[in-house]
This record gives sequence, structure tokens and C-alpha cells, in this order.
Amino acid sequence: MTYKIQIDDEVRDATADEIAKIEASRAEDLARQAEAEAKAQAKAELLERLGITADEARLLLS
Amino acid sequence: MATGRIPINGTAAIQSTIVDAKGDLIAGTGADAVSRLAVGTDGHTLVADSSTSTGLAWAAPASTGALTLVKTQTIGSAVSTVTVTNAFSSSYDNYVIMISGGVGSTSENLNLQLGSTTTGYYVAGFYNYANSASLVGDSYNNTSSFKIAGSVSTNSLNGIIHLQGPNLAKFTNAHYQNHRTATADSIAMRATAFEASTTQHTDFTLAVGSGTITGGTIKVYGYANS
Repeated sequence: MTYKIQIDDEVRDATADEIAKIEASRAEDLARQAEAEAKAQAKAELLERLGITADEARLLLS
Repeated sequence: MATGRIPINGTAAIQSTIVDAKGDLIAGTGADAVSRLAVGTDGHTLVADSSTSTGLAWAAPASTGALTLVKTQTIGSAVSTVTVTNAFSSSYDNYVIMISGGVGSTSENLNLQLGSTTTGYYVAGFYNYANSASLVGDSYNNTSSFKIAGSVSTNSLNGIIHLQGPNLAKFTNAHYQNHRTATADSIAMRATAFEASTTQHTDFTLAVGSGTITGGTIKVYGYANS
């Protein structure tokens, strides 16, 4: 995978070290996104088992 | 005057030879005494100054604006990251970064890294979608950058990021908000954050979470310290 990076007005291809940093940051974001999706899925499954909606759950907790 | 004399009180006169150049002024130096005051530097203004013989001095006008544009960076074509150098200095303690215009190749987040520091960023915030009034808490504990400091869509890039002390030898605090301008997944984010190091930064890098960004500008303003 190649990436173009910009430093002030200079645009060039990223070096191997820069590619590693970009991909590490993107992996961090993807992991976080997967974690959030897993939580949302678990929440949806719990609501389904309880037979209530998210709004009804919020009402119970308010 | 054609006579070369400027009449005063009908009796005394000041010789025109007192002035030597365009912009020279004649100023009083005491009772019944005058002196030449040479023109000042372009853009300077005349101010009272009791320490000089004429009681006047040329000086740079005092800054009256709260914000000063420090740097404008135009974003190139299809780049993954944009580094802005020499954005922070000892001239200002606090800054605001405005990201506007341009487009992304997809809906994504923009992350902000200070200098070369890739650890110790802590973010606490919340977001909600335009089609839902429900707020969702969001947090990032010791990550590699300020996450979701800006937003990207195929319609625009945007973000307003306030930074406190990026060039000071203290933790840098950040307060930011942005909105993903895409009708399919319009989302607004607000957060406060800090970077847990005492590194004094001069540069920052914006990195898109996936895909690329094209066009638009990054403007950096410094808040006047006094």
C-alpha cells in the first residue's frame, strides 16, 4: 500500500517508516471501531432478550 | 510656503531648512524650542514618549486583535496526512486550528498528532447522529493522536480545534468540535482532551482514518497573550 503525505507544500510518497506509522494509527482506529460495534451488537442482543426497546431501557434507568 | 519660513505669532518664524526629508515633523522640545522629528518606519504610528527630547516616538501599533493568523496551509491532492510545520511558537500560548473546504474520498475521521509524539493522547467526548437525539459518550485512553479532531466526507472537511499550550513545557489541552457533512451518516463530535507530555511542539499532523483528503485549507490562529 502506498500513501501520499504532505509536509507544508511538499507532497511525496511516504517512506517505509511513515507507512508503518500511518498503518499503526489506522489499525488503532479500526480496533476501536470494532470494539464499539461489538458493544452495540451486545446491547442490541440484550434488548432483544429483554423484549424492550432502547428508549424503554433508558426510561427504566432514568 | 514659498518663502521658506513658517510664520508663528506673526513675529517668529521656523526655517524650512529644519526639515530634511519627506515625512519629517517639527516638534516642540520645550518652551519656545523646536526640533526635527524624522519620519518613522512604514506602518509605525506616532506615540507620546516622555523619554525622548520631543516627547514623541514612532512605534509599531499595538496589536488590538484577539486572534492573529499564524499560518495557512492548502491541502494537496489525495494525501493521507498533512504536516504543518512552525505553527506553534513562544509568541502565543494558545491556538485555534480551523479546517475547512476540501473533500475526503470517503466519510472518515481526522486525527491530530502534535510534533512527533505518538503516545499519551487522552480524549473524552460525545457524539450524536443528525437522525438521533441520543448522545453517545466516546473516549480514547492513551492513543497515538487526538482522535476525531476533525471530520471528513465527500462533501467537505471540517474541524475547529482549540489548543492550549502546545509550545509550552506543559501538558497540551485540546477542545474540539466537528461535523461529518454527509446526509447518510451526519454525525457531530465534541471533545476535550489532553496530551500527556511536556514536549514543546512546533508542528502538527492531521491524518485521515482511511482513504485520502484533497483540497481545503488549514488555518492556524494564535490567541494574543495580552
